[in-house]
Amino acid sequence: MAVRQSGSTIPDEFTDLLTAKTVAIIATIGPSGAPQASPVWFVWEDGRIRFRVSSTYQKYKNLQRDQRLSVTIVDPARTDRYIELRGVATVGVDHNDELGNALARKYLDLDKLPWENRHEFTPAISVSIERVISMT
Amino acid sequence: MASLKVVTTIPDTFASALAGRSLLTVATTAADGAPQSSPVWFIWDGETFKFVVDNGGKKARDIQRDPRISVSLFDLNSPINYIEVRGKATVAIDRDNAIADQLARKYLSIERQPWTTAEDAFLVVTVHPERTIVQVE
Repeated sequence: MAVRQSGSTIPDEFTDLLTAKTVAIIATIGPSGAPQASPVWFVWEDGRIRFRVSSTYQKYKNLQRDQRLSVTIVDPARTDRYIELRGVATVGVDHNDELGNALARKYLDLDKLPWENRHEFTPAISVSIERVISMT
Repeated sequence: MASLKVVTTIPDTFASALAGRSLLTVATTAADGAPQSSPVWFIWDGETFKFVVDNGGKKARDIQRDPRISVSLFDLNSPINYIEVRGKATVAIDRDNAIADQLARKYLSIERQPWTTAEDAFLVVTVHPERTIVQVE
């Protein structure tokens, strides 16, 4: 097993993790400075990780306060292969469920999300990657 | 849609993920306050999570500086089910590589850890849960 740092570029041999139907663990910093983490569905688009959060969730509040985050994606088939992406989040809104529907296509093989939005708006997070750590 | 719940004990749904060869994603804070995370092999003893880190390594230093920690575990058979446990970590030398040996048995099916001949190569991190959050289908 070897840990490798490769600047902000994802090594070619790990790009399959970006399209696999696996979750990404998002770590953020809570109001007291302690770390928090939870899995999300994500898509990889234009060199960025994109995911949605609920506007009522702590993760959204955390990212509004401190945009630094860490994204860990593990190979679901192998317990010793993963990438960690450290970066900075841009917080926006998922207009017309554009991102939500992209997630439905990736994870559910559906054109659209099969559930109704319960909230006024759904935040969309786009992660600009600054550092990549991989292990194989 | 699934929802989040704060619980006092980990539901039985996660028994196989806790006992099996799954990964625990460990989130800590770096010196500059930024979050970091990486998956580790772990042991769940019914009350605490245990994993090893390199003695003197960056993760060990991060945890010693700020013991607040979050560990999460998801069920590879479900894209929804996961638990997040937030708590405090304590760090100690892995005497006789005892926990490393347990990890070798759990993940590699071998009796002894194959990584080091030194007695103090690893530190054991023990995560004491304070708040457990669960999402189930």
